[in-house]
Amino acid sequence: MTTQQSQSASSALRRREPRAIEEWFLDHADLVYTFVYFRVGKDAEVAADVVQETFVAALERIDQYDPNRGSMLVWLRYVSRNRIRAANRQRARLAGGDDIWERIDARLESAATAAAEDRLPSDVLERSERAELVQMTLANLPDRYSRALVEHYVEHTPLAEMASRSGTSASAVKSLLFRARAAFRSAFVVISGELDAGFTASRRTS
Amino acid sequence: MSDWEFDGEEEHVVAQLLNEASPLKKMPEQEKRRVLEVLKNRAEGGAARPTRLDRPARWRGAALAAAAVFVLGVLAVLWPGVGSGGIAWADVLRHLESVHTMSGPLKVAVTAPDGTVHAMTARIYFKDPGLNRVEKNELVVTLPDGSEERSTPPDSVVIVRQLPEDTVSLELFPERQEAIRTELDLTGSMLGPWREMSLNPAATAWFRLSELPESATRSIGRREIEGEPAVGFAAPLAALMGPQPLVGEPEGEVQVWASAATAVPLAVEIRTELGEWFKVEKVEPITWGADLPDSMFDDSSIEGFTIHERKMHTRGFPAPELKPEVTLRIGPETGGPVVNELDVVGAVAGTVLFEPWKRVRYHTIITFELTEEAAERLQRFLNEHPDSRLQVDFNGEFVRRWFHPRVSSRFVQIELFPLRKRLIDFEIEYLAGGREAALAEVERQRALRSTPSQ
Repeated sequence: MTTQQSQSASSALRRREPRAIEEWFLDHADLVYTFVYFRVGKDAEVAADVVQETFVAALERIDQYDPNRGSMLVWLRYVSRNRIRAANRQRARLAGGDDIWERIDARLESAATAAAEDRLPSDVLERSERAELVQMTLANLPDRYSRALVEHYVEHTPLAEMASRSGTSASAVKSLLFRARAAFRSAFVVISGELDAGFTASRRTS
Repeated sequence: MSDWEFDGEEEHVVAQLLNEASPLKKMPEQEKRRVLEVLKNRAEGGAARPTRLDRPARWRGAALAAAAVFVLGVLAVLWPGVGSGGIAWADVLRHLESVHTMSGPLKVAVTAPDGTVHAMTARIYFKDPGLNRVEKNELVVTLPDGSEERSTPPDSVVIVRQLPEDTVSLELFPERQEAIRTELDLTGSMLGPWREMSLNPAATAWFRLSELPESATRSIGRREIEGEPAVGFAAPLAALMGPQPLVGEPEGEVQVWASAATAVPLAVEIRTELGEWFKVEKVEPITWGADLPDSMFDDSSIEGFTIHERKMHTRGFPAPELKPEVTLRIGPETGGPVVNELDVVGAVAGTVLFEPWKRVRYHTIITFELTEEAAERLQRFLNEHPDSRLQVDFNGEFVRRWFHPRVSSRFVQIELFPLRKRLIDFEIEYLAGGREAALAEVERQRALRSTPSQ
């Protein structure tokens, strides 16, 4: 989406146009849902409720969204965090879960700057929970990265078609995929490492 | 699978991982439809449908919920402090985030060390985002003996627009058909959230409160506001605002009183201590969500008014150390200085106020940071000689009497009259690293001007 399109969509949202609201919600619902889902202990009902609260709050505060400070998805994730914390506190189902995700968030921030130096662990393909780890990782990437990775590697969209859709060149898409893989690798390492550490610690204390 | 650094192989691994994880998690379609319906309903002005999160008892099951209600009921009778009627801070937050206007009577009371209380009453209106209107009402000074001096300043209305980089305020005096438009540039002031706080404490508190975690709050009991039972929450001011520039960790707290029935905040009170000074800012009762037309905040309809343009610029000096040859002496008019330049850590900030229609057009106030020992020495001298008039000599160029010294923590604010200089010129002339810092500031200003506003 170009900046102009993004601003036009934001304006329509500010006017509370039903069509704009629907497009906005459907465009981000899955990514926000996945982001929330793992942070509320994989409880689908709670995740859906947190997503509802997130979008309602975001719609109320849509005037505060500044596209120059980050994508809509990043902002929606930010809005969702307080609701995730509140949901977890209310249910007290995830003892220590909040801490793990706060550590992960902190490490993801620093990892983003050092993405090129991280390597995927060599036993990555032996992990039994790797599918979930991949989902978690995708949900924590900048949306342009996760969308590009899914489009190319899951939906098998050719580079040329991706370039045509986004109005860029094939080499620009290739470069985007390179950065997306680096970000994926870095986030994957952080999340799997922290969850492992958290799991080990919880086993020690139980 | 050991050579992950090879991009070709890594690409293969990433592809394999992504494909193994497919189908990727999606929000269930029926949940999407439900949320979409709520959003559209909300956009048309309806209330959001409560989620499962709004009904915490359901998680524990009906039997546990019934038991909890019973226990809470007993506690509420026996121990008022716990009887929040089930209202948690999260309930208050939910309300704060769902409203766009706030209005109510504001009272600001400042108590001086001698017990004199200066109180100002006003009516405030705030509309999200960044529109403020303050209608000033009355000033009351209560002397230590209890006698009151009331004064009603000329009717005035202040309209403030807070913008990302600067703030414009317009103060209207309808009877005199005069207006003062003030441009405030506080972006380089290191004030952070305190910048907004200085402009509109109640509205700032509203925004900052929405970020305050439950863990920072404590229950402070119950009271009635306008006949409505309310439960109180308090949090340290430091948790709400972060460290206060130039003063350090702020002393004080914020109190929020919310309806015991609905969790709607009815009053916000900010209590601040600054040395021996004590300030209370209170809005009570608060009206949320009133229809406040934009015309209330229109600062363009001032036809026929005489407009005075005022500029106020506050800037923190990133390299505050004085040049070795610069001198500063503060002391009684006769006798030696109480503090001198050797006691100065640096000149940390400056404010220039330019009022071209007045006889004294420039006011330049510089904040100096003293060493802890020197600040204590100065405070001790002031305590022991309350009637002594101090004299400030800055570099032998600017000498003035200092009638109302403000000593808070290690920082003293001194108006250097008649220092008719821009802050950048002050930096270059008197601060050791001032030239580089000033050049950086010029670059910042240039960049701001070249960035197109949205």
